[in-house]
Amino acid sequence: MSSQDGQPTSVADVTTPPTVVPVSDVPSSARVHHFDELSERTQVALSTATPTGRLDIDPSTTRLSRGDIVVFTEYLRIQ
Amino acid sequence: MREIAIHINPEYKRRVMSQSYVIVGDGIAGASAAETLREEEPDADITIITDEGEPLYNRILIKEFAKGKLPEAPISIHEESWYDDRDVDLVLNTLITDIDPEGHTVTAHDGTEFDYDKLLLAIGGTPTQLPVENSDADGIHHFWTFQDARDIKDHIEQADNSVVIGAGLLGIDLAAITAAQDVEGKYLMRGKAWWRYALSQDGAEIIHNALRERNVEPVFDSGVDHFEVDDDGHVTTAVDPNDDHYDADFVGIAIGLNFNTEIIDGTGIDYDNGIHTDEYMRTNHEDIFAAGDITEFHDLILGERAQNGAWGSAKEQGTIAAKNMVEYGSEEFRWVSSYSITHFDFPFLSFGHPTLGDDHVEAKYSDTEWRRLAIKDGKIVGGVLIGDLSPQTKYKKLMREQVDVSGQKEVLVKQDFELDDLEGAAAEQ
Ligand SMILES: Cc1cc2nc3c(=O)[nH]c(=O)nc-3n(C[C@H](O)[C@H](O)[C@H](O)COP(=O)(O)OP(=O)(O)OC[C@H]3O[C@@H](n4cnc5c(N)ncnc54)[C@H](O)[C@@H]3O)c2cc1C
Repeated sequence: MSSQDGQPTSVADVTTPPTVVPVSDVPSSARVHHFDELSERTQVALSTATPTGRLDIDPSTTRLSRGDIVVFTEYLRIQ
Repeated sequence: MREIAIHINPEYKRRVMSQSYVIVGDGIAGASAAETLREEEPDADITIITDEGEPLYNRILIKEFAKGKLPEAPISIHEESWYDDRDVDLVLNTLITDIDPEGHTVTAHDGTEFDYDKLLLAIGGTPTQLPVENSDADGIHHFWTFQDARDIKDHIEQADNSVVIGAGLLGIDLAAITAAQDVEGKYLMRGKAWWRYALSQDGAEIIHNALRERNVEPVFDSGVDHFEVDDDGHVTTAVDPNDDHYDADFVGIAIGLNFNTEIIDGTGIDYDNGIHTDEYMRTNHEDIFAAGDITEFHDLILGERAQNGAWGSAKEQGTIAAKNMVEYGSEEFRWVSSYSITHFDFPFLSFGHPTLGDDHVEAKYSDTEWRRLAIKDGKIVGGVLIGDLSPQTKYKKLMREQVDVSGQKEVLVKQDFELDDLEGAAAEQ
């Protein structure tokens, strides 16, 4: 909870801009975030990302990790 | 023997002796306060007390669990070990029933007393009950806790038909749950539009159509006069004030929140709908702070008292309260709240105080794209974006910086609006 995006700080493993992919099944082990937990910048990036498109977030400040799922108009996996 | 009174300088006490902090409520406001307190004061005694039976979970994801789309595990945010690791005492299943500001104690339902140097009330609200006949029947649900979500999920999976009441941000979650679980439903609303205080007919119609596509039928100028029940006391029918009958073995009600102010009564802490705080989240009592949905805080942007009901705001207030409990005046709460709806294939975001204002401007761009801005004294105080959320940063900036947009409201809703489009002083911001 200590970051802008509501993530633990230990997971900032995003070093290059990630992409998003819609998913329908969520495993129990997944880390899931609601859109409203994210920073304004990440929200705008997610809402303008095209399916399977690059996510325009700053890897050095976001705490979203690859593999995380964001609940938005669909479930999006960051990868 | 002469008694000697020893006065300890509070600053000395803060530095040298460990402070004890008690937090009532382990929602996002209370939990983020506990986290910040531990970061700021490694040696302090921190206790967090909740009447719920489980530690912090993601309240804004429980709807996804009730829809049947998310398993339980990802909804939990903190295990009990999270508190142990930070040397925070977590006290579950414990309702605080009394506060003694002079004695610096809070008392629980079982008589246990907790002493504090500084107290944080992060106690949120409880769903309002409908004051009509049989509103406590089996099969009628309110929605606030994870346990409510489990009960809703169990029931809706067996249900044949549903009625939802409450044309706001929580009501639509219940409607979306019935839709996701393929249960045909009626959504009874007063007036002619969903969330009529923030949306016009044009904007609301986008939501109505999305509901209809999902087999949830909005019913306007309706509501509930009473419920009918079977011999086992289970709801069968909602009867509206027009005497129209709607069969429903599942009913969801979300007509608002009662803020949990009962324990404040008689303590001298100022409250109204919620607990009054300044911009540092402090109440009129020096050692008592409040954070989250429960606060009516001094909103620096609006210039008056306001109340937010959103996750991000509650989290930020918890953090700010904690910083000011450690060092009063260290950081003020200055925040534009936002709240989105993720049930449809178009995005929806409301920000600030979209139901306030003495003026507004709106524009519809397509069947799924619409915007409305609420304006007060020439300044944006809130808004709703449907379909395209990208302008949120610009509108929030104008709101945060209290830019006067008088006479330029049509410019604001140009589809490709840029801050440079504003003339004069506003454009220089
Ligand atoms: C179904 C649902 C969906 C939502 N969706 C969204 C969304 O999409 N986006 C968004 O931004 N917001 C959403 N919200 C609102 C958001 O969840 C709240 O604004 C936020 O959780 C408030 O946090 P809080 O810590 O102030 O209060 P709460 O989460 O209500 O926590 C208060 C805690 O204090 C406990 N408590 C109260 N009184 C006492 C007492 N006397 N003794 C001990 N414990 C006590 C309560 O049991 C509770 O656990 C939603 C809410 C619900 C219920």
